[in-house]
Amino acid sequence: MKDERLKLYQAMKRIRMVETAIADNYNNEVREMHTPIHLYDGQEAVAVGVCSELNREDTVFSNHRCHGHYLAKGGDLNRMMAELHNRETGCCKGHGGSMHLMDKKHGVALTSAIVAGNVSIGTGYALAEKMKKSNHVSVIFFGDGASEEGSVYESICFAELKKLPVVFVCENNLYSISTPMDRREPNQDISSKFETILPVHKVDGNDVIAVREAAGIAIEAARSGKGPSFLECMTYRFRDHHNVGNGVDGRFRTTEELQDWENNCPIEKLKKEMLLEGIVNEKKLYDIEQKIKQEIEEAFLYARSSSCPASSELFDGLWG
Amino acid sequence: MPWTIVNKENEIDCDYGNSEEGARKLSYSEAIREALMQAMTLDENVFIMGQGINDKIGMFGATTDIYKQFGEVRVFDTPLAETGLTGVAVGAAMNGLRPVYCHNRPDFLMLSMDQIVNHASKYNYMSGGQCTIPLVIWAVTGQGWGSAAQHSQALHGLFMHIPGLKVVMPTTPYDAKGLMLQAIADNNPVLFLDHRQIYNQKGNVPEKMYKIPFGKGVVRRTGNEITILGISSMLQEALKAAEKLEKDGVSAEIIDLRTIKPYDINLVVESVKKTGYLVIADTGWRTGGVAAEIAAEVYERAFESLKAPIERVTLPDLPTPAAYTLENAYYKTEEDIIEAVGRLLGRN
Repeated sequence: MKDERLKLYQAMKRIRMVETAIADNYNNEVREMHTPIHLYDGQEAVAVGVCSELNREDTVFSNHRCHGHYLAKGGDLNRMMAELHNRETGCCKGHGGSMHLMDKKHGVALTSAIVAGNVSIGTGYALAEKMKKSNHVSVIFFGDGASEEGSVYESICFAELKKLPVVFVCENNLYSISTPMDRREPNQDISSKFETILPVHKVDGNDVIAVREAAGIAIEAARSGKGPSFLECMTYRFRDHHNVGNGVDGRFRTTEELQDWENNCPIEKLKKEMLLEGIVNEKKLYDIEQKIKQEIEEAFLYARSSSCPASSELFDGLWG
Repeated sequence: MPWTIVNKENEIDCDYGNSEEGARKLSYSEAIREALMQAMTLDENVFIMGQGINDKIGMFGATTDIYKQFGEVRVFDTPLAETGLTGVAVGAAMNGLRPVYCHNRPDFLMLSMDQIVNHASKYNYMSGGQCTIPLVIWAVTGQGWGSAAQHSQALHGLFMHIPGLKVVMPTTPYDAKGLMLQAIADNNPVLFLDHRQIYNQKGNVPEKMYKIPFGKGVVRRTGNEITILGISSMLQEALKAAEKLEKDGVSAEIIDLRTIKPYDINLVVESVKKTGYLVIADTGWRTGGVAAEIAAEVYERAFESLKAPIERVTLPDLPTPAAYTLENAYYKTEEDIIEAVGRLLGRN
């Protein structure tokens, strides 16, 4: 477990540093990242905890806030950064942008910016896995907002009916853009809506170990033919829904609320714990950060030195 | 890829179903059923799903008892959850399978629009070519018996508008089989939209498998005075109109596009260059419809060949009424086509 914790920390820290680098460059004078961004800061324990239990052949299905899922599953950072910069070397050849990062080779099978659009597709992907008698598992990430869409209920019922190898991971960050739960739903306990249909695990989504343990149980159940599970991870978004702000301008949350959650940062919590237990020291942490920093610098360089797709390629890829 | 062994239509001894050689008389639904069963035998990745599909009369006889041969894993009934289940079909297609999702009525496809329009049609393009989606969505348009506004809509115009979708509209048992096989073999989402009115007709259908290429229309009847384009069940009306017109000394050329996206514009243009007149008879509505689209294309490509404006025979911009007196006023027939021809040729 000792080594695993450090690995989980590194994976979370990497996502945070990538998002920070994107935020730092997004509104610069050049504005080369010509794409609407939805940053993942604060929710890293969910993507990392879940994906740490997946194999390369397993798949994830993501949403508009996809950077964390993409990186946690092993998506290529250079190609992600190129996609954000509209380059032909991007993971979607410049056709997708920030809300549609996909890397089939590494199991980032689909990302949809239509909220909950990925949920039924991931379910169908798992149906195919079962029909092909593979032992691969599909994991679908979606938010509390998506849980309100009818297709989530439809997909979950169908997955349970057919005992599909799929895990539904609801990242409950308490807001749908800027609308809190109590303005949207009569029952704000999302898990309770599904617990009569399939096994449900509700965990602290800012505790990567807790997420990992619950995900491990759910993924193992899916892989061994026992069927789907629902994982609700209680977490919080540090940034605004879109762009780089933090939404404490009186629009939808208070500075105090944000600070409370920042004090519950999944990365800092794990760091403190590891320092306290002597698993890691400041020097080691510094080295980790330097390594990630270099990787990010190289990714920006890769993106900036790549070409944008030529207008002659406009029609490429419409048909399969 | 087993599909490469299936011949294209022009590589077999069949003349669009006119040839008796190697053909049997099958009904439209029998022809589709044969296509589905041959596809499932050829390729284990093919499966079919839909509400009531394992019912004795599932899909108007076209899926009857298929599950008995292929089992209920590959032929399964679906809950009434069209949004979710369309996504399930898209996901299975992305993962290498070839689903055929059946709907008794295209009206219910409106519940699937998010998956068809926002997802299935876009993912190959949006992912830079990482996601092929070999999916067939099949629905049968209804008409008559007071079906009214929610069980009778011909919605092909909506789907034709969406980049990334193919839209197939067979009119004969021969085409039904060959187009269904091509639809399943195709690596893209295909809307297979046929019409209840043509389900009981019989025609020559070869036993062996054949694929009809999309975008290749057929001249159903040769003529030289006027071109009439009949879409879906309006082809039957166009053929009946042509019989009557011949008795009145008018030689009409009848074109069946067979697929409306892509569609065989060259065939239409060539015919119009010969005749100088065009009537487009469609099962859909007038405004923003398929007839309007085809007319615009013909104006752009053959304006100087036209001796008069193009006539559109379409449904009025109205929901379908139930009462038979209103139904009769709403739907178009051979008589409406003959009237349109009369207006063009000045022979009323």
